[in-house]
Amino acid sequence: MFEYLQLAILWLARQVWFSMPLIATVAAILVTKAPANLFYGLVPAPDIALVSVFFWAIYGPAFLPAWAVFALGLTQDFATGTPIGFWALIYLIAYGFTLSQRVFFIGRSGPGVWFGFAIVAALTAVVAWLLGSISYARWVPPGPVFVQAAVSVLVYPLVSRVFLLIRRTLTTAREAI
Amino acid sequence: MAWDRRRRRASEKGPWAFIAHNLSLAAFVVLALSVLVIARAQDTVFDDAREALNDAGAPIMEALAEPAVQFKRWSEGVGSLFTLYEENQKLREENLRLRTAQTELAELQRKVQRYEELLKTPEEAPVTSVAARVIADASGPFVHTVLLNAGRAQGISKGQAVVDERGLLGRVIASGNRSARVLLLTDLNSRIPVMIEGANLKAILAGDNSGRPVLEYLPPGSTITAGATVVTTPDGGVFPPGVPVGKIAVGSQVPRVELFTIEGRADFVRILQYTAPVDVDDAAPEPLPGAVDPAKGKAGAAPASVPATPPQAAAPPRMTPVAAARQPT
Repeated sequence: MFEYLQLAILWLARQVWFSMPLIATVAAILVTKAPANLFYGLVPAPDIALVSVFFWAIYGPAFLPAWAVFALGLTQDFATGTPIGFWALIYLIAYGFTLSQRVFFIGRSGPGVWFGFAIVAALTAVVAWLLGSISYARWVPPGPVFVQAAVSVLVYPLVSRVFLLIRRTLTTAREAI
Repeated sequence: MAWDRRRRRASEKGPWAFIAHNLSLAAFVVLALSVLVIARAQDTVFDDAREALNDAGAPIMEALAEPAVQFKRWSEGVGSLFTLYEENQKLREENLRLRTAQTELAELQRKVQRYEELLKTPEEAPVTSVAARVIADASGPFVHTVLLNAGRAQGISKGQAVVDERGLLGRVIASGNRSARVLLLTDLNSRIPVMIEGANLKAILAGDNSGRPVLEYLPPGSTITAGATVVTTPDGGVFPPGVPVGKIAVGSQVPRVELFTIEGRADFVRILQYTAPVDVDDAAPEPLPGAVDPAKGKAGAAPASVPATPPQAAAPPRMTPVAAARQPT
Protein backbone atom coordinates (compact mmCIF):
# COMPACT_ATOMS: atom_id res chain seq x y z
CA MET A 1 0.00 0.00 0.00
CA PHE A 2 2.70 2.42 1.05
CA GLU A 3 4.83 1.39 -1.86
CA TYR A 4 2.07 2.37 -4.31
CA LEU A 5 1.61 5.68 -2.56
CA GLN A 6 5.33 6.27 -2.70
CA LEU A 7 5.35 5.44 -6.41
CA ALA A 8 2.40 7.72 -7.08
CA ILE A 9 4.06 10.60 -5.24
CA LEU A 10 7.31 9.97 -7.07
CA TRP A 11 5.50 9.89 -10.40
CA LEU A 12 3.68 13.11 -9.61
CA ALA A 13 6.86 14.82 -8.46
CA ARG A 14 8.57 13.77 -11.67
CA GLN A 15 5.73 15.09 -13.80
CA VAL A 16 5.89 18.43 -12.01
CA TRP A 17 9.67 18.45 -12.25
CA PHE A 18 9.68 17.81 -15.97
CA SER A 19 7.05 20.46 -16.63
CA MET A 20 9.29 23.04 -14.96
CA PRO A 21 9.75 24.92 -18.29
CA LEU A 22 5.96 25.27 -18.64
CA ILE A 23 5.46 26.25 -14.99
CA ALA A 24 8.31 28.77 -15.09
CA THR A 25 6.97 30.36 -18.27
CA VAL A 26 3.40 30.59 -16.95
CA ALA A 27 4.81 32.24 -13.81
CA ALA A 28 6.78 34.67 -15.99
CA ILE A 29 3.63 35.54 -18.00
CA LEU A 30 1.79 36.34 -14.75
CA VAL A 31 4.68 38.37 -13.33
CA THR A 32 4.90 40.54 -16.46
CA LYS A 33 1.20 41.35 -15.98
CA ALA A 34 1.78 42.85 -12.52
CA PRO A 35 0.96 46.59 -12.57
CA ALA A 36 4.51 47.83 -11.90
CA ASN A 37 4.43 50.59 -14.55
CA LEU A 38 8.12 50.08 -15.39
CA PHE A 39 9.67 52.95 -17.36
CA TYR A 40 6.41 54.91 -16.95
CA GLY A 41 4.60 52.56 -19.32
CA LEU A 42 6.62 53.76 -22.31
CA VAL A 43 8.27 50.37 -22.83
CA PRO A 44 5.96 47.36 -23.13
CA ALA A 45 6.63 44.19 -21.16
CA PRO A 46 8.66 41.58 -23.08
CA ASP A 47 6.92 38.49 -24.45
CA ILE A 48 8.71 35.95 -22.27
CA ALA A 49 6.47 33.15 -23.56
CA LEU A 50 7.94 33.66 -27.04
CA VAL A 51 11.48 33.51 -25.66
CA SER A 52 10.53 30.28 -23.89
CA VAL A 53 8.95 28.76 -27.00
CA PHE A 54 12.05 29.58 -29.07
CA PHE A 55 14.52 28.40 -26.41
CA TRP A 56 12.87 25.06 -25.75
CA ALA A 57 12.25 24.38 -29.46
CA ILE A 58 16.02 24.46 -29.87
CA TYR A 59 17.42 23.13 -26.60
CA GLY A 60 14.81 20.54 -25.65
CA PRO A 61 11.48 20.24 -27.44
CA ALA A 62 10.74 17.20 -25.25
CA PHE A 63 10.55 19.48 -22.20
CA LEU A 64 8.10 21.84 -23.87
CA PRO A 65 6.03 19.72 -26.29
CA ALA A 66 3.31 21.08 -28.59
CA TRP A 67 0.56 20.71 -25.96
CA ALA A 68 2.60 22.83 -23.53
CA VAL A 69 3.08 25.54 -26.18
CA PHE A 70 -0.68 25.44 -26.76
CA ALA A 71 -1.24 25.78 -22.99
CA LEU A 72 1.13 28.77 -22.89
CA GLY A 73 -0.81 30.44 -25.69
CA LEU A 74 -4.11 29.85 -23.90
CA THR A 75 -2.65 31.32 -20.69
CA GLN A 76 -1.61 34.41 -22.63
CA ASP A 77 -5.07 34.64 -24.25
CA PHE A 78 -6.90 34.39 -20.95
CA ALA A 79 -4.50 36.78 -19.21
CA THR A 80 -4.56 39.53 -21.84
CA GLY A 81 -8.09 39.19 -23.20
CA THR A 82 -7.26 38.43 -26.82
CA PRO A 83 -9.65 36.00 -28.59
CA ILE A 84 -9.06 32.48 -27.27
CA GLY A 85 -6.66 30.62 -29.55
CA PHE A 86 -4.97 33.79 -30.85
CA TRP A 87 -1.62 33.56 -29.06
CA ALA A 88 -1.87 29.78 -28.98
CA LEU A 89 -1.81 29.72 -32.78
CA ILE A 90 1.00 32.29 -33.01
CA TYR A 91 3.20 30.46 -30.49
CA LEU A 92 2.60 27.13 -32.23
CA ILE A 93 3.63 28.65 -35.56
CA ALA A 94 6.77 30.16 -33.97
CA TYR A 95 7.50 26.81 -32.31
CA GLY A 96 7.07 24.85 -35.55
CA PHE A 97 9.20 27.32 -37.49
CA THR A 98 12.01 27.21 -34.94
CA LEU A 99 11.79 23.42 -34.78
CA SER A 100 12.14 23.17 -38.56
CA GLN A 101 15.24 25.42 -38.45
CA ARG A 102 16.68 23.64 -35.43
CA VAL A 103 19.66 22.21 -37.30
CA PHE A 104 20.95 25.71 -38.00
CA PHE A 105 20.87 26.69 -34.34
CA ILE A 106 22.32 23.63 -32.62
CA GLY A 107 25.99 24.07 -31.84
CA ARG A 108 25.95 27.80 -32.50
CA SER A 109 27.39 30.28 -30.03
CA GLY A 110 25.28 32.63 -27.89
CA PRO A 111 25.23 35.66 -30.23
CA GLY A 112 24.35 33.42 -33.19
CA VAL A 113 21.29 32.06 -31.42
CA TRP A 114 20.41 35.55 -30.25
CA PHE A 115 20.46 36.73 -33.87
CA GLY A 116 18.28 33.73 -34.74
CA PHE A 117 15.81 34.76 -32.08
CA ALA A 118 15.72 38.29 -33.49
CA ILE A 119 14.68 36.85 -36.86
CA VAL A 120 12.08 34.53 -35.32
CA ALA A 121 10.71 37.40 -33.17
CA ALA A 122 10.42 39.67 -36.21
CA LEU A 123 8.66 36.97 -38.26
CA THR A 124 6.37 36.20 -35.33
CA ALA A 125 5.52 39.90 -35.07
CA VAL A 126 4.56 39.95 -38.75
CA VAL A 127 2.38 36.85 -38.29
CA ALA A 128 0.83 38.30 -35.10
CA TRP A 129 0.11 41.60 -36.81
CA LEU A 130 -1.52 39.87 -39.81
CA LEU A 131 -3.53 37.51 -37.61
CA GLY A 132 -4.52 40.42 -35.36
CA SER A 133 -5.68 42.43 -38.35
CA ILE A 134 -7.68 39.47 -39.64
CA SER A 135 -9.31 38.63 -36.33
CA TYR A 136 -10.16 42.25 -35.51
CA ALA A 137 -11.26 42.84 -39.13
CA ARG A 138 -9.23 46.05 -39.51
CA TRP A 139 -5.60 47.10 -39.84
CA VAL A 140 -4.15 46.98 -36.36
CA PRO A 141 -1.38 49.57 -35.84
CA PRO A 142 1.83 47.57 -36.32
CA GLY A 143 3.99 49.74 -34.04
CA PRO A 144 3.21 48.14 -30.65
CA VAL A 145 3.68 44.61 -32.02
CA PHE A 146 7.17 45.33 -33.31
CA VAL A 147 8.19 47.36 -30.27
CA GLN A 148 7.25 44.43 -28.05
CA ALA A 149 9.24 42.08 -30.29
CA ALA A 150 12.26 44.40 -29.98
CA VAL A 151 11.96 44.42 -26.18
CA SER A 152 11.75 40.60 -26.19
CA VAL A 153 14.94 40.45 -28.29
CA LEU A 154 16.68 42.80 -25.84
CA VAL A 155 15.87 40.67 -22.80
CA TYR A 156 16.62 37.37 -24.59
CA PRO A 157 20.18 36.86 -23.23
CA LEU A 158 18.99 37.32 -19.66
CA VAL A 159 15.87 35.15 -19.90
CA SER A 160 17.62 32.41 -21.88
CA ARG A 161 20.25 32.20 -19.14
CA VAL A 162 17.54 31.36 -16.61
CA PHE A 163 16.08 28.75 -18.96
CA LEU A 164 19.55 27.33 -19.53
CA LEU A 165 19.85 26.87 -15.77
CA ILE A 166 16.56 24.97 -15.74
CA ARG A 167 17.69 22.96 -18.77
CA ARG A 168 20.91 21.88 -17.03
CA THR A 169 19.10 20.84 -13.84
CA LEU A 170 16.60 18.86 -15.88
CA THR A 171 19.33 16.99 -17.77
CA THR A 172 21.26 16.06 -14.67
CA ALA A 173 18.01 14.95 -13.04
CA ARG A 174 17.16 12.76 -16.00
CA GLU A 175 20.60 11.17 -15.96
CA ALA A 176 20.24 10.49 -12.26
CA ILE A 177 16.97 8.58 -12.70
CA MET B 1 19.41 1.54 -39.26
CA ALA B 2 18.10 1.65 -42.80
CA TRP B 3 14.74 2.68 -41.41
CA ASP B 4 16.43 5.42 -39.42
CA ARG B 5 18.25 6.67 -42.49
CA ARG B 6 15.04 6.72 -44.48
CA ARG B 7 13.43 8.65 -41.67
CA ARG B 8 16.18 11.22 -41.73
CA ARG B 9 15.97 11.54 -45.47
CA ALA B 10 12.22 12.04 -45.20
CA SER B 11 12.74 14.95 -42.85
CA GLU B 12 14.73 16.71 -45.52
CA LYS B 13 11.96 16.51 -48.04
CA GLY B 14 10.13 19.66 -47.02
CA PRO B 15 7.15 20.89 -45.13
CA TRP B 16 4.97 17.81 -45.57
CA ALA B 17 7.57 15.51 -44.14
CA PHE B 18 8.11 17.95 -41.30
CA ILE B 19 4.41 17.88 -40.51
CA ALA B 20 4.38 14.09 -40.70
CA HIS B 21 7.12 13.99 -38.11
CA ASN B 22 5.44 16.50 -35.82
CA LEU B 23 1.86 15.28 -35.96
CA SER B 24 0.97 16.50 -32.48
CA LEU B 25 2.19 19.97 -33.40
CA ALA B 26 0.05 19.93 -36.54
CA ALA B 27 -2.94 18.71 -34.53
CA PHE B 28 -2.55 21.54 -32.00
CA VAL B 29 -2.19 24.12 -34.80
CA VAL B 30 -5.50 22.90 -36.25
CA LEU B 31 -7.05 22.93 -32.77
CA ALA B 32 -5.85 26.49 -32.05
CA LEU B 33 -7.09 27.70 -35.43
CA SER B 34 -10.53 26.17 -34.95
CA VAL B 35 -10.80 27.53 -31.40
CA LEU B 36 -9.87 30.98 -32.71
CA VAL B 37 -12.46 30.79 -35.50
CA ILE B 38 -15.14 29.72 -33.01
CA ALA B 39 -14.11 32.46 -30.55
CA ARG B 40 -14.34 35.11 -33.28
CA ALA B 41 -17.62 33.80 -34.70
CA GLN B 42 -19.31 33.59 -31.30
CA ASP B 43 -17.80 36.18 -28.98
CA THR B 44 -19.54 34.93 -25.85
CA VAL B 45 -18.56 31.23 -26.10
CA PHE B 46 -15.61 31.48 -23.74
CA ASP B 47 -16.97 34.21 -21.47
CA ASP B 48 -17.79 31.85 -18.62
CA ALA B 49 -14.37 30.21 -18.80
CA ARG B 50 -12.73 33.64 -18.87
CA GLU B 51 -14.66 34.81 -15.84
CA ALA B 52 -13.94 31.61 -13.90
CA LEU B 53 -10.23 31.81 -14.72
CA ASN B 54 -10.06 35.50 -13.86
CA ASP B 55 -11.68 34.73 -10.52
CA ALA B 56 -9.25 31.88 -9.90
CA GLY B 57 -6.28 33.99 -10.89
CA ALA B 58 -7.35 37.08 -8.94
CA PRO B 59 -5.74 36.05 -5.61
CA ILE B 60 -2.48 35.20 -7.39
CA MET B 61 -2.47 38.48 -9.28
CA GLU B 62 -3.33 40.34 -6.10
CA ALA B 63 -0.35 38.79 -4.34
CA LEU B 64 1.90 39.68 -7.30
CA ALA B 65 0.48 43.20 -7.51
CA GLU B 66 1.47 44.05 -3.93
CA PRO B 67 5.26 44.27 -4.48
CA ALA B 68 4.70 45.75 -7.95
CA VAL B 69 2.59 48.55 -6.53
CA GLN B 70 5.16 49.17 -3.80
CA PHE B 71 7.83 49.40 -6.50
CA LYS B 72 5.68 51.74 -8.57
CA ARG B 73 5.17 54.09 -5.61
CA TRP B 74 8.84 53.95 -4.74
CA SER B 75 10.01 54.68 -8.29
CA GLU B 76 7.56 57.56 -8.63
CA GLY B 77 8.75 58.88 -5.27
CA VAL B 78 12.37 58.75 -6.37
CA GLY B 79 11.48 60.48 -9.62
CA SER B 80 9.78 63.36 -7.81
CA LEU B 81 12.69 63.77 -5.39
CA PHE B 82 14.70 65.59 -8.05
CA THR B 83 11.94 68.01 -8.94
CA LEU B 84 10.80 68.68 -5.41
CA TYR B 85 11.56 72.39 -5.43
CA GLU B 86 9.92 73.09 -8.79
CA GLU B 87 6.95 70.99 -7.81
CA ASN B 88 6.56 72.85 -4.54
CA GLN B 89 6.66 76.17 -6.34
CA LYS B 90 4.12 74.98 -8.88
CA LEU B 91 1.81 73.67 -6.18
CA ARG B 92 1.97 76.98 -4.30
CA GLU B 93 0.90 78.88 -7.41
CA GLU B 94 -1.80 76.35 -8.16
CA ASN B 95 -3.06 76.54 -4.59
CA LEU B 96 -3.41 80.28 -4.88
CA ARG B 97 -5.30 79.97 -8.13
CA LEU B 98 -7.54 77.25 -6.78
CA ARG B 99 -8.44 79.24 -3.70
CA THR B 100 -9.84 82.07 -5.78
CA ALA B 101 -11.55 79.56 -8.06
CA GLN B 102 -13.13 77.92 -5.04
CA THR B 103 -14.93 81.07 -3.94
CA GLU B 104 -16.13 81.60 -7.50
CA LEU B 105 -17.32 78.01 -7.60
CA ALA B 106 -19.28 78.36 -4.37
CA GLU B 107 -20.96 81.45 -5.71
CA LEU B 108 -21.80 79.76 -9.01
CA GLN B 109 -23.14 76.74 -7.16
CA ARG B 110 -25.52 78.94 -5.18
CA LYS B 111 -26.61 80.60 -8.40
CA VAL B 112 -27.23 77.31 -10.19
CA GLN B 113 -29.15 76.01 -7.22
CA ARG B 114 -31.40 79.06 -7.30
CA TYR B 115 -31.97 78.75 -11.04
CA GLU B 116 -32.78 75.10 -10.64
CA GLU B 117 -35.31 75.91 -7.95
CA LEU B 118 -36.86 78.55 -10.19
CA LEU B 119 -36.98 76.22 -13.22
CA LYS B 120 -38.07 73.25 -11.10
CA THR B 121 -35.55 70.91 -12.76
CA PRO B 122 -35.81 67.38 -11.34
CA GLU B 123 -32.98 66.26 -9.10
CA GLU B 124 -30.37 64.08 -10.73
CA ALA B 125 -30.10 60.60 -9.29
CA PRO B 126 -26.92 60.32 -7.24
CA VAL B 127 -24.30 58.03 -8.75
CA THR B 128 -23.01 55.48 -6.26
CA SER B 129 -19.57 53.97 -6.63
CA VAL B 130 -17.48 51.02 -5.51
CA ALA B 131 -13.75 51.25 -4.92
CA ALA B 132 -11.39 48.61 -6.28
CA ARG B 133 -7.76 48.12 -7.04
CA VAL B 134 -5.93 47.38 -10.30
CA ILE B 135 -4.33 43.97 -9.79
CA ALA B 136 -3.11 43.24 -13.31
CA ASP B 137 -2.13 45.39 -16.25
CA ALA B 138 -2.88 43.14 -19.19
CA SER B 139 -2.06 45.63 -21.90
CA GLY B 140 -0.42 43.99 -24.89
CA PRO B 141 0.10 45.00 -28.49
CA PHE B 142 -3.53 44.17 -29.32
CA VAL B 143 -5.51 44.69 -26.15
CA HIS B 144 -5.52 47.39 -23.49
CA THR B 145 -7.27 46.08 -20.40
CA VAL B 146 -6.74 45.97 -16.65
CA LEU B 147 -8.04 43.55 -14.05
CA LEU B 148 -9.77 44.75 -10.87
CA ASN B 149 -10.13 42.94 -7.57
CA ALA B 150 -13.89 43.48 -7.31
CA GLY B 151 -16.71 41.77 -9.16
CA ARG B 152 -20.37 40.83 -9.05
CA ALA B 153 -20.13 40.31 -5.28
CA GLN B 154 -19.46 44.04 -4.99
CA GLY B 155 -22.22 44.92 -7.44
CA ILE B 156 -20.04 45.43 -10.50
CA SER B 157 -21.56 44.55 -13.83
CA LYS B 158 -20.75 44.86 -17.51
CA GLY B 159 -20.81 48.36 -18.97
CA GLN B 160 -20.15 50.40 -15.83
CA ALA B 161 -17.73 53.32 -16.05
CA VAL B 162 -14.38 53.10 -14.26
CA VAL B 163 -12.70 56.31 -13.10
CA ASP B 164 -9.62 57.21 -11.11
CA GLU B 165 -8.86 60.52 -9.43
CA ARG B 166 -7.97 62.12 -12.78
CA GLY B 167 -10.90 61.05 -14.94
CA LEU B 168 -12.45 58.27 -16.99
CA LEU B 169 -10.29 55.19 -17.39
CA GLY B 170 -12.59 52.82 -19.28
CA ARG B 171 -15.55 50.54 -18.82
CA VAL B 172 -16.16 47.09 -17.40
CA ILE B 173 -16.38 44.47 -20.16
CA ALA B 174 -16.58 41.32 -18.04
CA SER B 175 -17.20 40.75 -14.38
CA GLY B 176 -16.61 37.54 -12.51
CA ASN B 177 -17.61 36.96 -8.95
CA ARG B 178 -14.73 38.87 -7.45
CA SER B 179 -12.76 40.18 -10.41
CA ALA B 180 -13.62 42.43 -13.32
CA ARG B 181 -11.92 43.30 -16.57
CA VAL B 182 -11.83 46.92 -17.70
CA LEU B 183 -11.51 47.90 -21.35
CA LEU B 184 -9.34 51.03 -21.39
CA LEU B 185 -10.18 54.02 -23.57
CA THR B 186 -7.14 53.42 -25.78
CA ASP B 187 -8.17 49.87 -26.75
CA LEU B 188 -8.98 49.18 -30.38
CA ASN B 189 -12.52 48.14 -29.45
CA SER B 190 -13.31 51.03 -27.12
CA ARG B 191 -16.17 53.32 -28.31
CA ILE B 192 -17.53 55.88 -25.89
CA PRO B 193 -20.10 58.66 -26.38
CA VAL B 194 -18.58 61.98 -25.37
CA MET B 195 -19.31 65.68 -25.51
CA ILE B 196 -16.96 68.59 -26.09
CA GLU B 197 -17.59 71.13 -23.38
CA GLY B 198 -18.19 74.68 -24.46
CA ALA B 199 -18.92 73.73 -28.06
CA ASN B 200 -21.64 71.27 -26.97
CA LEU B 201 -20.65 68.93 -29.77
CA LYS B 202 -21.25 65.22 -29.43
CA ALA B 203 -18.91 62.58 -30.78
CA ILE B 204 -17.69 59.05 -30.29
CA LEU B 205 -14.31 58.57 -28.65
CA ALA B 206 -12.69 55.65 -30.45
CA GLY B 207 -9.52 53.94 -29.25
CA ASP B 208 -6.95 52.82 -31.81
CA ASN B 209 -4.22 51.30 -29.60
CA SER B 210 -2.32 54.58 -29.62
CA GLY B 211 -2.02 56.76 -26.53
CA ARG B 212 -4.53 59.29 -27.83
CA PRO B 213 -7.98 58.10 -28.94
CA VAL B 214 -9.73 59.64 -31.96
CA LEU B 215 -12.96 61.65 -32.00
CA GLU B 216 -15.29 60.11 -34.57
CA TYR B 217 -18.68 61.09 -35.98
CA LEU B 218 -18.32 64.78 -35.25
CA PRO B 219 -21.07 66.74 -36.98
CA PRO B 220 -19.78 67.82 -40.42
CA GLY B 221 -18.45 71.34 -40.55
CA SER B 222 -18.06 71.64 -36.81
CA THR B 223 -15.03 73.48 -35.49
CA ILE B 224 -13.26 72.36 -32.36
CA THR B 225 -10.55 74.16 -30.46
CA ALA B 226 -7.48 72.45 -29.08
CA GLY B 227 -7.50 72.29 -25.31
CA ALA B 228 -11.29 72.05 -24.96
CA THR B 229 -12.39 69.58 -22.29
CA VAL B 230 -14.08 66.34 -23.34
CA VAL B 231 -16.59 64.76 -20.94
CA THR B 232 -18.93 61.77 -21.05
CA THR B 233 -22.58 62.04 -22.02
CA PRO B 234 -25.41 59.87 -20.74
CA ASP B 235 -26.27 59.00 -24.38
CA GLY B 236 -26.68 55.27 -24.63
CA GLY B 237 -27.55 55.06 -20.96
CA VAL B 238 -24.17 53.71 -19.89
CA PHE B 239 -22.17 56.58 -18.44
CA PRO B 240 -23.20 59.29 -16.01
CA PRO B 241 -22.95 62.77 -17.55
CA GLY B 242 -19.96 65.02 -17.10
CA VAL B 243 -17.18 62.60 -16.17
CA PRO B 244 -13.94 64.27 -17.37
CA VAL B 245 -12.21 62.31 -20.14
CA GLY B 246 -9.47 64.51 -21.58
CA LYS B 247 -8.55 67.56 -23.63
CA ILE B 248 -8.53 67.98 -27.39
CA ALA B 249 -4.91 67.42 -28.45
CA VAL B 250 -2.95 70.07 -30.28
CA GLY B 251 -1.66 69.59 -33.78
CA SER B 252 -2.90 66.37 -35.28
CA GLN B 253 -4.61 65.60 -38.57
CA VAL B 254 -7.62 63.84 -37.08
CA PRO B 255 -9.12 65.22 -33.87
CA ARG B 256 -7.47 63.33 -31.02
CA VAL B 257 -7.98 63.50 -27.27
CA GLU B 258 -5.20 63.78 -24.69
CA LEU B 259 -6.56 61.67 -21.83
CA PHE B 260 -6.50 62.89 -18.23
CA THR B 261 -5.75 59.41 -16.92
CA ILE B 262 -2.36 57.77 -17.28
CA GLU B 263 -2.99 54.08 -17.85
CA GLY B 264 0.07 52.66 -16.17
CA ARG B 265 -0.41 54.82 -13.09
CA ALA B 266 -3.96 53.66 -12.30
CA ASP B 267 -3.93 52.10 -8.85
CA PHE B 268 -7.12 52.60 -6.88
CA VAL B 269 -10.18 53.18 -9.04
CA ARG B 270 -13.89 53.74 -8.61
CA ILE B 271 -16.59 51.93 -10.54
CA LEU B 272 -19.60 54.18 -11.09
CA GLN B 273 -22.96 52.49 -10.74
CA TYR B 274 -25.17 54.60 -12.90
CA THR B 275 -28.62 53.62 -14.03
CA ALA B 276 -30.01 55.65 -16.86
CA PRO B 277 -33.26 57.45 -16.02
CA VAL B 278 -34.71 56.28 -19.34
CA ASP B 279 -35.05 52.83 -20.84
CA VAL B 280 -32.39 52.80 -23.48
CA ASP B 281 -32.98 50.01 -25.99
CA ASP B 282 -32.76 46.80 -24.04
CA ALA B 283 -30.46 47.95 -21.27
CA ALA B 284 -29.69 44.75 -19.41
CA PRO B 285 -32.02 44.31 -16.44
CA GLU B 286 -29.27 42.78 -14.31
CA PRO B 287 -27.47 46.00 -13.30
CA LEU B 288 -30.46 47.18 -11.26
CA PRO B 289 -30.41 44.69 -8.38
CA GLY B 290 -26.61 44.56 -8.44
CA ALA B 291 -26.37 48.32 -8.32
CA VAL B 292 -28.90 48.61 -5.53
CA ASP B 293 -27.37 46.20 -3.03
CA PRO B 294 -24.22 48.08 -2.04
CA ALA B 295 -26.10 51.36 -2.10
CA LYS B 296 -28.45 50.18 0.62
CA GLY B 297 -26.03 51.30 3.25
CA LYS B 298 -26.01 54.81 1.86
CA ALA B 299 -28.87 57.04 2.84
CA GLY B 300 -31.45 57.73 0.20
CA ALA B 301 -29.62 56.21 -2.74
CA ALA B 302 -31.40 52.87 -2.86
CA PRO B 303 -35.03 53.96 -2.71
CA ALA B 304 -34.44 56.35 -5.56
CA SER B 305 -33.41 53.65 -8.00
CA VAL B 306 -35.53 50.70 -6.89
CA PRO B 307 -38.91 51.44 -8.44
CA ALA B 308 -38.91 51.16 -12.19
CA THR B 309 -41.70 53.60 -12.98
CA PRO B 310 -40.79 56.92 -11.31
CA PRO B 311 -37.53 57.36 -13.20
CA GLN B 312 -39.40 56.70 -16.44
CA ALA B 313 -41.96 59.30 -15.54
CA ALA B 314 -39.18 61.74 -14.85
CA ALA B 315 -37.52 60.97 -18.13
CA PRO B 316 -38.78 63.65 -20.52
CA PRO B 317 -37.90 66.66 -18.34
CA ARG B 318 -34.57 65.03 -17.46
CA MET B 319 -33.56 64.88 -21.09
CA THR B 320 -34.73 68.32 -22.11
CA PRO B 321 -31.91 70.38 -20.58
CA VAL B 322 -29.42 68.43 -22.63
CA ALA B 323 -31.41 68.87 -25.83
CA ALA B 324 -31.92 72.54 -25.09
CA ALA B 325 -28.27 73.03 -24.47
CA ARG B 326 -27.48 71.49 -27.81
CA GLN B 327 -29.79 73.76 -29.82
CA PRO B 328 -27.79 77.00 -29.92
CA THR B 329 -24.86 75.42 -31.79
